[in-house]
Amino acid sequence: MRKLFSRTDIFIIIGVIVLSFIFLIPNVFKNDELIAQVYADGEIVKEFNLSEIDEETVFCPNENIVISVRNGAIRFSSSSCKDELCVNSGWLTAKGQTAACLPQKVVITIKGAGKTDMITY
Amino acid sequence: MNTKNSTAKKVAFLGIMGALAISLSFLESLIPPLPGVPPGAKPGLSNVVTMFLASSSGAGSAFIITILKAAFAGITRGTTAMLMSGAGGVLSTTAALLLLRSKKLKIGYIGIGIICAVCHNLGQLIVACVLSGTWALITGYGPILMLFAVLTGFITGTALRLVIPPLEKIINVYN
Repeated sequence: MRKLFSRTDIFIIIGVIVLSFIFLIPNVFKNDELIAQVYADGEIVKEFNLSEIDEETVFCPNENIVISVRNGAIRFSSSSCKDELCVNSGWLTAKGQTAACLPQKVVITIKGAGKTDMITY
Repeated sequence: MNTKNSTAKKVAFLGIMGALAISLSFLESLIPPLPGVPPGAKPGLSNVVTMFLASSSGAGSAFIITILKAAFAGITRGTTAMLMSGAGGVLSTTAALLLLRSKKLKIGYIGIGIICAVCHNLGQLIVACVLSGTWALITGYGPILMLFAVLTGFITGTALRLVIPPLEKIINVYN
């Protein structure tokens, strides 16, 4: 019978971890302004500069979803779908963080201001 | 007992495996969202069943149960869940078949579990990107899901190693 854990497995674990950090690099090397983007059906419908928001406000891309924005953070605060994975994602506060509501096709993501993400677009 | 391979035996065996996979995926859906764990991430216990079939039964039965799982997700959780379960399942079952059948690669069960978990997440992520039209999900969610796949791979790989001996006894009864 095959072994439970072999030497090759160590390389696989290291490989997966290294690969995930390589994916993280474009999110890290960005300037400090936090720009949140709201996508609906794949189109950007709203952008917030989270660094410049003073009071907590809400934004509704459609009648089923409420997105809350405050200084330095954005979240789904309610959704009509029953599992509410998007709401459970909580506040997004750092670049590269993303939350998605697939039933409503709404995605919120935080990107660095000014520069274009060279890998994803 | 008649040792000839009959259709009835095959159906009965696949019925047991299908019930096992579906009840495990239902069990997983009861786990509440935990702090620090990416939302929607699961230990992937029902994949142990398809990985076992890939290892001990055959490509046909492994894919039948993978599709049954996707159909169950579709009935209970909607089309989005069905597409995500299907894409992730087909990718990870293919990976399990290739890895478990190869004699050259000396990968342990944990390594196979990790690669299957990564493939499963990749399939789901691609479907999520296509459905939402947002490719930023790959860099947003991908790294966290991949790190999490190492953990779930440990769990499913170890579980697979533990269940192969008793489940192969069932196979011998039904073959």
